[in-house]
Formats: sequence, structure tokens, C-alpha cells
Amino acid sequence: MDNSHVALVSMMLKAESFSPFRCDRNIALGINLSSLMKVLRCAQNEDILTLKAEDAPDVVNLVFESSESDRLSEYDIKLMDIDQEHLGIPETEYAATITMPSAEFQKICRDLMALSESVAIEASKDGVKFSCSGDIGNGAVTLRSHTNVDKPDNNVEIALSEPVALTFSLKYLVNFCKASGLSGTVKLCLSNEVPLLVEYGLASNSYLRFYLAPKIGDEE
Amino acid sequence: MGVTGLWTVVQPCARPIKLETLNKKRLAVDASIWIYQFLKAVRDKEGNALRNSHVVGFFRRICKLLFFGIKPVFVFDGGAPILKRQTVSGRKARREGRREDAIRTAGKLLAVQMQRRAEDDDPKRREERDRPPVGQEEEEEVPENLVYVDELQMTEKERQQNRTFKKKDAYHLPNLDVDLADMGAPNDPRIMSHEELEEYARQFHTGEDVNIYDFNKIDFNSPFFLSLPASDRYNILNAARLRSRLRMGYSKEQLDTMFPDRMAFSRFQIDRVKERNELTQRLMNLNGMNGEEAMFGMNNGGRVAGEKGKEYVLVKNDGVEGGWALGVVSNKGEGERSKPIDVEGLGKEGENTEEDEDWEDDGFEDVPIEGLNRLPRRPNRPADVSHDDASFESDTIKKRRRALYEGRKEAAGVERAAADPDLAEEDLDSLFVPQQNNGHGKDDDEDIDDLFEDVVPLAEDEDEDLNRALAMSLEHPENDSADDLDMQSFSNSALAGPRIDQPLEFNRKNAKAGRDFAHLANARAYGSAPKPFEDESDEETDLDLHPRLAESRPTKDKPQGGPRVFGLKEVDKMSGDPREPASSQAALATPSAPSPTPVSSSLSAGFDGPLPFESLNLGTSILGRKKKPAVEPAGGFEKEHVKEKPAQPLPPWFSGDIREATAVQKAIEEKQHEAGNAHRRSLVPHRASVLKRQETGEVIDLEARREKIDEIVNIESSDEGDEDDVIMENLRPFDPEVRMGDLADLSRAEPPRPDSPPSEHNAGKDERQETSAGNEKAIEDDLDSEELVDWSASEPEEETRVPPNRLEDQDPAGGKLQEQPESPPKIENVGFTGLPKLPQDSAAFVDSEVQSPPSLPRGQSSAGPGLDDLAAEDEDIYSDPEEEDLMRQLAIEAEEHARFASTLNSKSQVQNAEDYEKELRQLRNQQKKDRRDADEVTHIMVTECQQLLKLFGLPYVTAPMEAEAQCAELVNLGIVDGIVTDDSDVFLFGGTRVYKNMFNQAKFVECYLSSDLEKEYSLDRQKLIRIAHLLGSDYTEGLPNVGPVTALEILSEFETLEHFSEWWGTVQMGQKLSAEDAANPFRRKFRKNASKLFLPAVFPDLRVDQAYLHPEVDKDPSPFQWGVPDLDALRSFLMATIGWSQERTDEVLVPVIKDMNRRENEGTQANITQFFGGGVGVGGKPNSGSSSAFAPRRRLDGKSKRMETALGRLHQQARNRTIGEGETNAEADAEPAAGGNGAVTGAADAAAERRGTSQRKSKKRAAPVAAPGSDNDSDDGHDEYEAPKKSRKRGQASAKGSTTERKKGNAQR
Repeated sequence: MDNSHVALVSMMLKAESFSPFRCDRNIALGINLSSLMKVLRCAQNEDILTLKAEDAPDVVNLVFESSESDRLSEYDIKLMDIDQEHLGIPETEYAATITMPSAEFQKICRDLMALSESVAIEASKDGVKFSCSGDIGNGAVTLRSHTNVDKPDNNVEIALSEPVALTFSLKYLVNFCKASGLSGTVKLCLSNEVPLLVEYGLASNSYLRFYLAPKIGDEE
Repeated sequence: MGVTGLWTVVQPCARPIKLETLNKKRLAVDASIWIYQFLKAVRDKEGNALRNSHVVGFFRRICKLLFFGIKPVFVFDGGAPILKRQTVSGRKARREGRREDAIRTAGKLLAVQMQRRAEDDDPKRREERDRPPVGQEEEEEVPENLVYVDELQMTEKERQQNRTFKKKDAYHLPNLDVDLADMGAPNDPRIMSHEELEEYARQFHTGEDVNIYDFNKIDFNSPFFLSLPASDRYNILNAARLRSRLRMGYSKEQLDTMFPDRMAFSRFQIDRVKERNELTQRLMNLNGMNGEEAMFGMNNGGRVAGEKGKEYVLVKNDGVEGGWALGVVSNKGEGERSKPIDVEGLGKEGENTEEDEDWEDDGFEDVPIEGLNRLPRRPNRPADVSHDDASFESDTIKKRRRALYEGRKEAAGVERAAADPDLAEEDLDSLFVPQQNNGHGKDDDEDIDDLFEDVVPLAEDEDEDLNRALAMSLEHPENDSADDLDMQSFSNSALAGPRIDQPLEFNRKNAKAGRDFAHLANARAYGSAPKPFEDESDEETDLDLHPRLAESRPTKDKPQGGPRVFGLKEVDKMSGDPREPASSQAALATPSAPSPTPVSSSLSAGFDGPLPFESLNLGTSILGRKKKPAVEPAGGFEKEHVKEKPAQPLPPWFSGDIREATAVQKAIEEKQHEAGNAHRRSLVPHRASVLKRQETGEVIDLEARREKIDEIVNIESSDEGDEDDVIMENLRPFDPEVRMGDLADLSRAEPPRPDSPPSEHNAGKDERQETSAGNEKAIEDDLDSEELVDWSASEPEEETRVPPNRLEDQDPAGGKLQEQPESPPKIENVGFTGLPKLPQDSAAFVDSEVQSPPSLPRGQSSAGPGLDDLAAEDEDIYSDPEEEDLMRQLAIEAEEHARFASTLNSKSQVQNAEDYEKELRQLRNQQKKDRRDADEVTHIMVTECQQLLKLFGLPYVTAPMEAEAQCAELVNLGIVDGIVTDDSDVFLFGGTRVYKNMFNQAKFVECYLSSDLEKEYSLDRQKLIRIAHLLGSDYTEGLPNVGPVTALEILSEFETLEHFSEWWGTVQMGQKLSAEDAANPFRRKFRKNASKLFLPAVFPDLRVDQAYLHPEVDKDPSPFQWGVPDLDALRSFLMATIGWSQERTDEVLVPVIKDMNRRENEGTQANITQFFGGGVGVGGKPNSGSSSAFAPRRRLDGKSKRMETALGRLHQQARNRTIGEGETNAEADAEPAAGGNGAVTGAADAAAERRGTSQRKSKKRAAPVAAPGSDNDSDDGHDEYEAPKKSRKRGQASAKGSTTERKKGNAQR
């Protein structure tokens, strides 16, 4: 969660993504992200990464193996004492689920970002409308269901149980869109009065999820 | 406020929270503590409360709250419960004590300072005692001629009289030395005549003297002229026109000789008419009188312009030609004439006045007026060259001027009497230099410089000559006159000269200070030189006229014969006989003799306006005339003619003086001089040497002159030579007594009158005074002047010759002044000379005088600039040393004090000083604190704050009793989400979520959750109340000598306060330590301290618990409503209360309100945590839904070990409890025991060991081995206490899991 308590990131890497994967017991490792970044930069693209942590660990161990050159790099990252209190993320039935090309979503967000700080997402039977209004004017992008047989990635699917209209901060959405490279499609899940879920699907059922709290009006 | 020191206890539970996350949170604000804070914290440097600090503080804080979208509810204190009132009254009593303390502290401060002062003084006094002779030495010598303040205005004679006069009774008055009959007469010497008054008044509105310009040379069509302001153009044109209408001041005979051909004469006349017509036309153009408007606007003519005594009237000419004529109506006639009459009284003037009158009758009515207006004199200039009348006219004008001058002088004298040197100076300045009103000598100098420079470049020979003459005359007309062989002229000029010269010289000096022009410096020096001459002569007239005159004469002669004439020759006008020029000079001087006008005129010429027009060469200046004759033979003749006439009047001037009588005869002049010289020589043998010296000086001058290319410079240098000589003479002859007398005269109130001989005499005296002043100047000039060689050469000579005299001279002149610049004589001098009045200046002056001899070589090498620098340096030296001395003295004093103190108490100096400073600082701080504590919150403050809240549209509640209790209740009612307060009482009242330090940081606020306290330290409400019992709060005084750490220790050691009290009782009773105590290191240690504790009879006062647990609160659950700020009302309110301008208010308020509106429109960012379960840090009512906040705690290090230990134990207890709840195992059983006997740690460790499979850090585990009953030392105990904390951390890492896991984690250690 960011320190303003507005957005939350959740990434799930299923056991299928690893080989081998072994975990005897649930364990939480508090890792400083920037430290992790530093270490990960030491890896090369084709390296094999091994993550290891002992029981009740002080450090997490990362091993980079180069299949080509038999090089073996090993790094330990000290763990953080992360507060135990966790957010329980409830499984929610969303009223609207939109699947669309991630590039499309990125473009929409960036375009609207130029106009305003926030975007209103309205899902209705007709389609999904991203609209914003700012000092210089208004803008809106409407998407309808669309099926592209040749490129299934370009499909736009809208599943709607009831109309939804929410407003979100574009700043966060644009940041979410940086994950577009991970997946060709993005799934937006909305429900009134509930944070938006932006999910980028990864290989083998893994996913990267962003939650974003909506902006709410002054109605109490 | 609140529980003392509780915040330090709960500090580790603080969660930093981003202010943004508080958006839309309803927070109860404890307003009472705000006001209190502002009252206490916002102080000025001296610890005084700032008025309205609470309003400002409220405003700022409210703005911040609103900006972050927080919805505050303000809660004010209502009444105070009895308990609180008791403690508060106790506190008040303490405060009263403080107030007394404040007074006492102030007293102490004073005492310390006085002590220090005394200590400082003591050594000084001792020192003084040690060397009393020094003090005596420093005592000023009483000068021979002492002038007391009340005698300033008196003549020497009067002073003598005054001093000898002893009152026999209250009505006894000294005898008058004036005839009583004279008193009532119109020429009562004591009263200013009407004319004099008028003149005096006139001098205050000074216009520019236009007459100094040669109008023939002005191109009225030149762009420069056109660019002048209309008034200036008018003045100039008018002057030119008036001048053009004159018949050039020539008599018919003169004109006849000039224009033997009648045609030529008529042509001349026609030319004049044409010229005049042209000027008139221009004038009218300027006035717009012949423009269209004029025709329509003024049909009948009328007064066009006027000034006092003069009116310009435009008269329509109804004749065939039509047109307009400009007439001048003067009603000043009588006034004019009256003055000449005054002069007439002198006798010699008679002729002149008659002539003047004739002349005026001839149609020169304007002239008198002009004379009054200071316009005229010059008109003659061009004509002068050829016509006698001009000179006459000028003479008359001069007379008038002189009269004016006298009048002014009188005025100045009066003013001086009033001890206002400034005014006097100004007067003089205004007289001499119209534009000098600003009182700066430098301006004058600049003007002079301008003039001088202007003059130099002139191409024409004649002009050159004239210019040179002008320069000379400017520099010192008197000098020239002195050069004249005519005694009278000399004396006259002497009389007149000094006055003028002094200011001039003074100015020059000033200029020198700032300037580098060697030329100018020379000129100045030259100018200064003449004065001495005159001075001398004056003195001589009084004392030893004969020798003096003789001496002066020779000196003059010599210069004339040598350098001066030579210079003239170089100019190459004066080729032939020095005599002739001399005679001409004399002629010129003679007219001036009766009236010092020449001097003044020359002066005015010197001070010609800032306009770059070529200035007229003044015939008045003798040098100029000298040259003139060379150019035009007629001039010389005329002048001679003129001079004879004025020569006669002199006697009255110097009535009773033999010298004058002799002086009247010009024919014998030179011989007389020589005779005088001889006479003088015989009288004073050393004078001969002086003469020789002069000669040598001249020689040097000549050489120097040759080296110089500039003719003017040459002349100056020669002059300087003269000057030097003169100065030397002056020094010698000067009698201190005389000088003193002069000074006194100068300051004398009696106005010298030109009419009556006595007054004349007075004037003479005045002049003498001036001369004394001039002497000084001369000396200075000497120093300044380049002719250092002369000076230095002559100086020693003189010294050797007349050591006593010299010394004396110097004493009154310079030495005395230097020593005590404030002495009356000096002031007089200053005032008279028109010194800038700055004592420093004069001092510098004197300094240079004294100091320059040694530094002469330097000045010599660097010529002008060097000298200037020197003078400046002197000044600096003069002013700086004083300050430096002061500083040094202070430093020494401080040192001395330290040393002195150290001798007293054998401490090091530094230490002593430090001690003193520390003491002082401490006292000051305490004073501040005391003052602060003495202030209280008033009802007005509360109402003001409430008004402010109303205007902001914010709800507020006045609690029935305690605001904190109400806040807690509001949270419990669920109508607010948290409490903003810095009062730790709120936890005791049941506040669950507290925000502290909300306004200390930009982004974060400390959030305290009671659940955290409970969870981490098992500090529930009960325990907190117990802490309050120990530490003291609003409801209880607490235990003295118990701080937070001890309190926590007690809390962790004893389950209840009753236990503690019991235990303490046993300790007090002196029971030996039980086995239980012996087993517990804390108790063993605490026993020692326990004796220092004193528990009240009913230690855990149950009323306190009741007050905290069941406070009187308003339980109304109706929700609050928030309005919008009323901007206008806020503006006016802030304006009214704290005087903020609208801008100031808007600066903060407008952005806040804008932001609020924006948020309303756009909606606000929701907090994601409120959507997700997990219940992190839920502090509010569990059912309030949106009260969760996710914020990791940040652990601070650096707390006291004991505190950590105690907290760790509390934490352990808490953990044990939770564990006990989680699974009912042995630990749970152990806990109650732990509460009683402190075996909890042991139990925990036992448990840990039981499960302990931890692989790491066995070292740490060494401590827990401590078993009950073992002799653990304190270190072990420490480890023991600390251990649980570690385990907690560890445990947290894995606490997410099931209970078993948690257990495991716990067991890791």
C-alpha cells in the first residue's frame, strides 16, 4: 500500500511459475523493495533465479545462475521487520468487469491525464466511458465490446451486472499502466463504493493486481 | 497538563500517520489545551505573552485542518471538577510563588550585575589610586584668556568690566560705556535698523545671482539657454536687459572721451537700444506677453512680476505702434539711499553717494534695486574696462553690499550669540554664495571649481587675463588688496576680507578633503593666504599697528616685486612697471576700502552660479583690474582717479588710529612701507628674518612656477608663497590675548553698525576675530598647500626666532581647540568661519594643523591629493581612535574583571567569566519561565476563539467539565473518529485514538491508539490511571521524586498501587527485606530510594480513579454538522482582533477555501483501508466502520535503559496475558504469580526454555537462565528485561500464523 493508503499492489506468483517450488510453512518475508531492485539489477536476462529463505530467516537469499557461463551469483537481502498487521483483501463480486488490451488502457489513461487529475469510469450496457474534465476542457473515451478474431488480445469484453460509475485518480492509474509490458490484456473490475481492481494476468495463472480507492463525493 | 511524563511512556506506540489519510475524518479537538499552549508558548524574547496569540494560533491550525479535509469538532473546557480545582489551586499557589520568584529573580539579576559592576570598578579605582599624578596631568590647563560661556558675546573690554564688576545689590548694574543719549536715537547701536532687518530677512530667500554672467557672451538662442527653466531664463534675460539699458555707468565726459566722434556715440547708443529691445522682446516672449493669449488675456497690462521692492508692470502702448512696454516700479529707493547715507556717515563715502545719487537720477533706478536684490554689481563689468562711472557705480553698489553685509554680519553675530553656529554659517554662506543654502561648503567649492575651470580654457587673451584675474580675485581679493601699497586699502580689505575669506577658505578646505585637484588646492591655499594678511593688519590696528603694518607691507611688497609681478608678467599683460599695476590696484582697492564690497563682489564672482555661462570678470578683483589697465590704458587712469576719492573716508574707519592717518596718503605708500619695514625691523629684529624667509619662499615659488605650465597655477603658486610668508608672520605676531579678545568680540551680540564709528570699530573687532579664525585657517592651508618647502623652511626659522610667541599662538588657535573641541572659542570660530559645524571637522582641522609638519614631506610629494588624503586621514584618526579606545577599554575591563575575580576566589579567569555568564543566563531564563507561568487563560480568549470557530463554520462543544473527557466520550459515542490533543489525560478518560503533534510536521501526525498501548504494554486505562497517581496529573499531585521511569518500574513491579503502598509502608517501618525483596533486584535497589519517597496518607486516592473513569460528560449522540467558512466575516474579524489586513488573511484563507471547494466538487480520494477488512489499528468504535488506519509503528531508539526495561516487562506481561488467553498453559498460571512477585520473567524464560529450539544467539539467552532466588546482578536483570522485547519482535515476524506458530516464534528465544 502506498503511504497515502490509496492504492495497493498485490502480485501473485503461483507455485507453477517456479520449478522447483518448495514451501514447508507459510512465511512472510519483509523485503525492502529498493533493496530488492538493487539486487535484481545484478541479474541478467537469461539467468535462473533462485529465492531461498530459511525458517525464521534474517535474510532472503537470491542466486543467479547463468546457464551459459556457469556463473553463479549469490545475494542476501536483509529482511525487514514488517508489522504483522495485514490487510485482508476480501474477494469481491464486481458489478462490472472489463477486459481490454493493456496498451489501449495505457493510452486512455495517458491521454486523459493531460486533461485532468481524475477520470470517471462509467460502465453501462452501451460500453465503458472514460471521461474527465479539466481546466482546459473535457475528454471522454468510450469503448464497446469488440471481438477481434485474428488477435484475441485486442478483444474488448464487458461483463456487466449493473451500471457502475466511479471516479479515480489518474495519477495512480498511469502508474499502474507501467505493468502493461507484462501482459497484453488488462482486466478492470469495478463495483460501486469499492476500490477498482486492475489486474494484469501473468503466465500460469499468476497475476499482478492493483487496487485503487475511488474518489468519493461529499455525500455522507 | 495531563499526566506528567505519560507521553514519554507511550511514545513507542506512536504511529506516524500521513495527514492526507485523515481526510474526511471527524476529529474532536481539545481546544482548551490549544489556548493554553498559545498562551504559554508564544512569547516574545522577554517572555511576555503576545496579545492575540491564541487567535493567530487558532486561525493557523484551523486552516491546516481544513486544508487536509479534516472535520474538526472543538471542545472547550467547562467547569473544573473539585479534584481538579484542588490541584489547580495548588498549582496556582505555586504560580503565585513563581510570581514572587519573578520579582526575586529580577532582584537577583540586578544584584549580580551590580556586583559585577562593582568588581569592575574596584580595580579601576585602585589603579587610579595608584597613579594619581597622571590624573592631574590630564587636567586641562586653564588658558590665560579664559572666556566663560556667559561671556561669549562680549568684547574683551566688556569681559574685563564684567569680571571686575561686583554687584553691590540686586539692582546694581554696571556702567554703560555708551552714551545714554545715543540709546534712544535712531541709530541706536543695539537695535537693528529697519533696513538691516529687511536685508536680514532678504538673505533668507536667496535667488541666484544672475549678475555674475557676462550677458554679452550668452547666446540666448542656444539650446542650453532654452533648456533652462523659464524662471531662470527670465531672471537672466531680465538682468541682461537691465544691464543693457545702463549708459554703461559712464559720465558724459567719459563718454565724450570714449567716443570723440558723435556718430560713433550715437551708433553706440543705437546698438544699446537695439540690444535692449531685443532683450525686451525675448523677455516678453518668455512671459507669453506678446503671444495670442497675452493679447486676449491682458488687455490693460498690469503687474507682470514682482518681488519685494520691485514690480514689473506691463503697460500697453496705445500709440500708433501699439505694443507693450515693460516698466519697473521700485519702491525701494529710500531704503537704498538710506544705506548710502550710512556709508556717508563715514565721511569718505560722501562723494560716492552723491555720485551714486546723481547717477541714479540719470535713470539708473534699477541699479539700487538690483543692488538690493543682489543682481547688479556686475553690470558695470564690461563697461568697467573703459569707463569711470562703472567703477563708481560698482563702488556704490559695493557700498550697499557692504551695508548689507554688515547687516548680515550682525545678524550672524546675533545668531552666533544664540550659539547657533549653523545658522551663522548659513547666513554667511547665503550672503556669499546664493546657491550655498544647503549649507555645504563643498557645493561652493565645486562652484568655484567650475568657475575656475571654465575660466581656464578661454581662448582670447583678454579673456584669459580676465579669467586669471577672476581666479585670483576669487581666491582672495584681500590678498590683492594687501598687495596694494595702499595701507588703507589694505586695512580695509583686511577688514572686509577676513569675513569673506573664512567661509571661502573653509569651504575650500572641505573641498580639499574630498578633492584631488592640485590646482584647486593651490587656489584655495592662495585664497587662505590673504586672510592672514588682513588678520594681521587688523590686529595691528588694535595692538601694534605700526609694526604690523610695516611688516605686512614688506611682505606684500616682496611678493609683488617678485613672484606676483612676475606672474603677471608671464601673463604678459603686466610687462612694464610693477608700480603702475600697483597703483591701479591701489585705486581699485581704495574704493573697496570704504566699503569692502570689492571683496564681496569678487567673492560673489567666485561663487558664480552653476550655469556654465562665462562669468564676468570682476573689476573688483584687483588683479583683474591690474590686467585691465594693461589692456586699456584708460582703465588705469580711471582707477587711480577712483582710488583717490575713497582714500579719504578711511580715517573714520580707523578713527583714532595713527596708522590710518598715515595710510591715507597714498603717494608715500611705498616709501612708507619701506620705512615701516625698517621701523618694524628695528622694533622686532626677527622680522627681518621673516622677510628674508619670505624672499626665499618667493624664490622657491618662482622655480615651482616655472615648472608649472599653467599660468594660473603659477600665479597661485606665487600666491602661495605669499601666503606662506603671511602665515608665518601671523603666527608670530599673534597674541593669544588678542585672539581671545577677538573671539569674544566675534561672539558678541552687539551688532556692529557701519554708520557709527563705534560700530565700525566693533566690526573691525569682529574682523579681527575673523582673522584669528583666519589664522587657523591659514595655518591649515599652509599645511595643505603644496608649498610645503616654504612652510617647512620657514617654520623652523620662526620657531627658533620666536618660540614663546609661536607656542602661544598655537595654543589658542590649534592646541586648545584640539584639546577641548567643545570649548567656546572654538565654537565661535567654527560658526564664524562657516565650518560645517561638525566638531570632528574642526578637530580634524586642528589635527592636521598640528600633525601636518611631520607628514609634510608626504604631502609634498603627492601634491594636492596627498594633502587631501592626509586631511582625511587625520579625520579618521581622530574619530576612530576614540571608538577603538572604547572597545579596547571594554575588553581590558572584561579581562581585568576576570583576573580580579580570580584573585578573589582562586578560580581561573575564564571560569569566572563563564560562571558569571551562566548565572546571568540562568537567572534570565528563570525570569522568562516565571513570567510565563504566571499567565492564565482568560474567558475573553475563549470567547474570541469560539467566535473564530463560528466564522469558520466549525462545530464546537463546551464540555460540562473536562474537555478531554468530553473528547473521549465523543469518540466513544462514535460521532468523531479521533481526538486531536496534546493532553495525555485523554487516555485516562477513555480516548481510544489520539492524534498528537498534528501541527509540528508538514506531513505526519503521531497517532496513538489505546489498543496499541494495551497490546504492547498492557497499559489499560486502569494502569494509566495508576501512572497518574504516581506521576501526578490534573487531579492529583503525584508523588514527588517519581518520574516516568520509576513509575513504570513500580507499575511493572507491583500489581496495584495498594501493593506498592503497602510495601512502601513496610520499608518505611524499617522492616528488613523479605526474601521476596531480596530476590528482586529492583526492589532491592528501590528500597534505598523508597526512603526519599513520601506517600500521602491515602495514597491511591480513589476519587481520582472515579474522576477519570466516570467523568461528567455530555452524552448527546447527535452528530455534528460542518458549515463553510465565512470569508468576509473572517476578514473583518481578523482585522478587528489582530489587525490583519485583508491581504494577509487571504494569503492563507483563500487557498484553503478554494481547496475545500475543489474537493467538494471533485470528491476526495478515499482511503483504501476502509474498504478492506483486517482491522488494522482500529482505534475508534469497532462499529464505526471507517476508523481503521494502517500505519506501521516506527520504533525510536535512544530511550533510557530503565524505561525500556520497564516497558519490556510490561510488554512481557501483556504478551503473557495474550498467550494465556490463547492457550491455557503453564504461563497463564505463572502470570498471576508474576504480577505479585515479579517472577514473570523467570516464568517466561522457563517457558521459553521449555520450547526453546532457537538456533541463534544463545548468547542472549544467557540471561534468562536466571532463576528465581538466584543472585542476579543488575546487568543480568537488564538482559532479562530486554529479552522479552526481542522475542516480541521476532514473534511479530511470524505472528501472522496460527497460535502455535506464534508460540513458536515466541519460543525462538
